[in-house]
Amino acid sequence: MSPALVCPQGHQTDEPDFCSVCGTKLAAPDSVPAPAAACPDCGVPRDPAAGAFCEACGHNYVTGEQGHIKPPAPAPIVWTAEVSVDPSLREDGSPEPPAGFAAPPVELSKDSNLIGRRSDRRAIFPEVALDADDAISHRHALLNRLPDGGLVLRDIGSSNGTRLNGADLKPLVDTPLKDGDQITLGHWTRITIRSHQ
Amino acid sequence: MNFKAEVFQNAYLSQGTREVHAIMTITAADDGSGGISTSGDKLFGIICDTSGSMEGAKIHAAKQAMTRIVELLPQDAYFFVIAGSDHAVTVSPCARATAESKQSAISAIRTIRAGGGTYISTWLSQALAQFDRMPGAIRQGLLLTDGQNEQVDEPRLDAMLNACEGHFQCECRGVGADWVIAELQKISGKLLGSTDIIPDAAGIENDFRGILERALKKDVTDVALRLWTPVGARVLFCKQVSPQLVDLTQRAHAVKPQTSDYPTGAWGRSESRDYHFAIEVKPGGVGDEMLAGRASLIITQNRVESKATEARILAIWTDDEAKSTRIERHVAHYTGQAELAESIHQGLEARERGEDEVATRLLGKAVRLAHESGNEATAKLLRTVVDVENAREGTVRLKSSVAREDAMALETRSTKTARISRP
Repeated sequence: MSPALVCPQGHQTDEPDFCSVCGTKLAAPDSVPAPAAACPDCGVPRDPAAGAFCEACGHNYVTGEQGHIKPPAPAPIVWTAEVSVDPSLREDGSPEPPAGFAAPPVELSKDSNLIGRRSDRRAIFPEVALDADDAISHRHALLNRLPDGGLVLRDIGSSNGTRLNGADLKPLVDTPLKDGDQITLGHWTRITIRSHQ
Repeated sequence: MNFKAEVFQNAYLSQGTREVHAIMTITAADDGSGGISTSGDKLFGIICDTSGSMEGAKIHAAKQAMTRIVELLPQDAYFFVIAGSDHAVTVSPCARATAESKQSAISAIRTIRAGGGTYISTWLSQALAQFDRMPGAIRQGLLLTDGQNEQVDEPRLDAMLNACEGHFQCECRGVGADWVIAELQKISGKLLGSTDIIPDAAGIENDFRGILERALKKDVTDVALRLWTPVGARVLFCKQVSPQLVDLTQRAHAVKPQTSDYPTGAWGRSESRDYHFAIEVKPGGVGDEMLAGRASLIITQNRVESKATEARILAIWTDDEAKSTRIERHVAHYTGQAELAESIHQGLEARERGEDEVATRLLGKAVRLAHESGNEATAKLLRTVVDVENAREGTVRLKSSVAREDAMALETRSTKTARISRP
């Protein structure tokens, strides 16, 4: 016996399309498919139409034999850098920070993403371009993605240094980053690192 | 044998509208793929008026027609013959139509003599006993009379009709012009048949043959139209609109709350009928969609119900007037056919009362409606009562003298509707 259906008005209905009490249309049963069993090897949901084998890795559901195709990598983590101006970082002698600075988050889509200041003459085009802050080196730091999806920060010998969560970084040393980490550099630039699964 | 149902409607309603109209076409088809098993046996019962008024040409023609029908019966059919006057006499009891039983029935028919009064309740009571011998068969009766039922028999007739309902179907024929349309229509209505006039006794045999042929074409009996409606809804009417107008609204049997059955009798293969439903529902908000009715065809065989087909009547409320104001053409056509029959009925009544002006207006309207819908049969019958000047505008003149038979033929046959033409 299938479980009793309930219409949007709360009546128990014997009919699957329209309520057998009040006639209200019921949500199409197709829109809530039963959760399919997942492949024990790769975790991809089983497609009942595909037969005895997992469509993704070749796992045999009947014999339980392992598939020959490597399971696909888990969904990659997307990292973004949010650039903001923080006047509280300003030191004596620094120029006034620009008012009303706003920039969209930068997605760190490359394996190596440069933080720096753009220079057409030297052909430096940083992924995270911080042109307004002249205390930032043209080639200041790198945000490198690791094969496992992680992200590391490396100061590449900048003139004025880089801080991670308030602590100075050693140049040319990779430091793993996590969601919410704060990178501060230049006169008053703050970068917030975000990870999105 | 299989049934197919199709619904024609404009499901879009303007905000606040409560009335939902739909035409459902049900078609029986024998595509050889099984489906509903057909009832093999066919029982044909003849009930013939033998009261004193039948004396002369009428009883002679009726006896001849009955003899002919008995001869025409196929070997595998069953039949009986009842002669009715003050009481009913079973001239030939329920038997298989073998050569011997036919012969003895024909001999018995020859001995029938006219005499006595008209107590139809006793005839039906006798017929019921015969039909109940074969409850699984297709049971078709044929009642022929020429006069009015005795006044004192009326209450008994009503009670007997209730007893007979569902036990057999009966076609009613009035011969001559001395019978009362409403009376026979009451019988044929309850027993899922039609009423028609045989103006001249000479036409009895032909008419009987037609009824027998149609009865022999039936394959499935005890078919009911089951209509479910949502809570708070009301069925305004349920009519068979084709091939003939029959208001089924009062024949509803409640099966359970919200669900009623309308008996439709026996069906033959390749038969098609149309039904018009009007349902009043609780109005919904713009964008709401609900089911206003679920109509299914229920066949009862050996006390087991099976659903042959189903169709849904929807209601969708919209603020788009282009959608909600459109009248679906099937609904429009059959609404017009019902109006046509009503105009004829009231027009003839007005004519009877001597209100010529009203009668001219109503019958003129009927002529116009018949012309517009292409109902040639009704248009032809109308021309026996009125002189048509302009059919398109409905200008007519009443004929100064009209044969009573012609007026009765128009009245009884005007319920025949024209099938909607293909677009």
